[in-house]
Amino acid sequence: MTKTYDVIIVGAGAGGGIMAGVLAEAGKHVLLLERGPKLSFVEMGRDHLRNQRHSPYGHNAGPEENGNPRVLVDAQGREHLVKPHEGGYQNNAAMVGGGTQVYGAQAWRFREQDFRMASTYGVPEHSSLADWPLDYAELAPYYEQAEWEIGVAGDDEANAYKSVRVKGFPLPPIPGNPSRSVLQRGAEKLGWKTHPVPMLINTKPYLGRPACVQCSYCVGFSCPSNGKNGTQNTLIPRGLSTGNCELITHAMTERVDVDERGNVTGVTYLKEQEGAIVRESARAKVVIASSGAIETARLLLNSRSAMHQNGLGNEHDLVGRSLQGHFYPGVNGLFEEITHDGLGPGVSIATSQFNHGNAGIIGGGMLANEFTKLPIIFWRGSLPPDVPRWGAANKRWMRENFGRTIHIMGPVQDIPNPECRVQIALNVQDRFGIPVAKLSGTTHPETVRTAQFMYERAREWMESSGATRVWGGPPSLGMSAGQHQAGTCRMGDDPMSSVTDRWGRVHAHDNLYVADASLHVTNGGFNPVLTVMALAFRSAKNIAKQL
Amino acid sequence: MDKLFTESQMRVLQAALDRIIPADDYPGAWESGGGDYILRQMESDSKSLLPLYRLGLDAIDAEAVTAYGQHFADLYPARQDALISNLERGTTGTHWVISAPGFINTLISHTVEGYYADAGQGGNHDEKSWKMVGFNQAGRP
Repeated sequence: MTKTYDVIIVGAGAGGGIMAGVLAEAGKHVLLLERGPKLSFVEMGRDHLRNQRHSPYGHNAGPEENGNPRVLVDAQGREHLVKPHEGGYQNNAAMVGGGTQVYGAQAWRFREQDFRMASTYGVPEHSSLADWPLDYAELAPYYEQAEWEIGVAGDDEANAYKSVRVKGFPLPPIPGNPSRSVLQRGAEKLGWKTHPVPMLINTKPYLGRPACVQCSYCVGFSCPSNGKNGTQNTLIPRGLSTGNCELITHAMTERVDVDERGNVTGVTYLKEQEGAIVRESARAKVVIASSGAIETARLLLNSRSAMHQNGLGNEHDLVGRSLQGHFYPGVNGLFEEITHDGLGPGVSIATSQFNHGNAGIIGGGMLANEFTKLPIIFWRGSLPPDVPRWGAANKRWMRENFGRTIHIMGPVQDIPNPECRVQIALNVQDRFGIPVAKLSGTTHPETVRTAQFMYERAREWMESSGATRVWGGPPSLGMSAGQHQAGTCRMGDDPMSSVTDRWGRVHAHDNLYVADASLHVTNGGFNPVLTVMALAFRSAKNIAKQL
Repeated sequence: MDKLFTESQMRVLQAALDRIIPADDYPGAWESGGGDYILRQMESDSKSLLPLYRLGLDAIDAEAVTAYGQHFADLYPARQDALISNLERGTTGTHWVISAPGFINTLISHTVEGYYADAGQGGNHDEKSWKMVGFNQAGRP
């Protein structure tokens, strides 16, 4: 029997989780579909070789290794089949909470200029750089809602480059550590302003959940104290507790269904039951795609029908284009003093000085010290080029310098390229027989120029802080998507140049919405999750009013 | 279960691991469980590399016998190190049917994974490598 809901949400991550919570609390009958499982801290474990940060052999947060391939098209146009743990797949977690259960939890607001990149900098040739259809002021109340309802620790006073905000943070900033002292000293010498990194982490008990235990396992893992805040421990349980929200896990949505006139009526999803694949359909007044920038584009493109032969929302060949993420230029530095005290999260100091206003550069980015590294990640990525990879000398270097290095890096404003895109690989199917995503293209060369500029700032900061040596290579052209994937269903006022309107509603549809970073016209020079959350709170309120 | 490696292959493996991460006041790779880690890999994620390992371990021993008239495991550590360095550079005295640097780099990578990853993988007994570098010694749940 086909069940009927007010709203069907495809994907229980940052955007979908908030949609589910807000709409269920508004009394709407919600079906929340998630292709992955619901996982606990114990189930996700602490495998240093199979987690979302370091995955040479697999992941702890999905998708499953087998039966979920993607096709990657390289610079020569050759197609490669890639598995979720392999480079090039551009994976994000597939589970209840999505990336928010395994993220590092940096909670940045975009700045005013981030919403009007085209009018601030002009549009470089072959780029799809554009302004957002809304400005910072319009999103600010929803940033605040995200900060207070999910829980952000920060210091409002310290950030000289903050966007205008009405209210401070609900939680005091994460504590300092030796790296912060060292880098603060270096920044002061340069005349740079620094501040603690805002984080979705409980620095004290908040909203009924305990504080962070500073265990060093933020990025790539689940939190042992439940003091790291995501949708899995806030808005999703809030939604479920109303009794209005039904969550179905392990449910892979095949397509958004339409009637003979092309109007959206619901979705068809697949589940495995007793070894057999079962196809189910559900009907709703509103369908919301919130599966991440790659999977949302895939879902819309796979939802072809007589009325929508190129997929939903794709009348102008825009769905899947302008795929963005973040380049992370950075350097490592070695210090005589101890820089690491064994406590997490490790990331403790940032500068937003170079997000904008850099002469001759489009945009910029934030720089911060990196999270505490797993020793194996440190060995793989943080050794100076002249240190041997093995032997007594390597062991000695690891022993003496794991606690004396700092890694500065940060996300750079991605200058979008319409040819960096998600398409459908019609000849390759997942385990349910659904055609998979095909990824191709690179970011725009201007991104590399901005990244180079930020790389030089990272180097300058490290040297000024007293590093005895600094190493790490400059950025080079490539695709950036990964966990910060964005831009594949951009918002805009003009249906000829955007996929959705300013509310995330797909143009020419009354009842089909997108609620994830697919909407991001540009992706800011910051971690994007708080913006995903703010957009979802704003859009959810709007949908609730209309239903 | 059939043995994954012959006795002489195991001797090469142990000796090589203990040069890749030698013992000092912290354990070497073998004592830390590196052998167990690699054997587990050969039966799971790195199953496809078992033939490479067999060929590689035999080839290392052949190199030692050709160059010094002794098995790899019986060489002085300095000679073992020199031999590994040569293989890393692709300098071989015998005919290799596989890439010598390719195999050595795989072996180094696996050895380091066993040594520095979590003890649940078979290596890093008592998390001694973490104590050595100062990882995660506070705030642990």
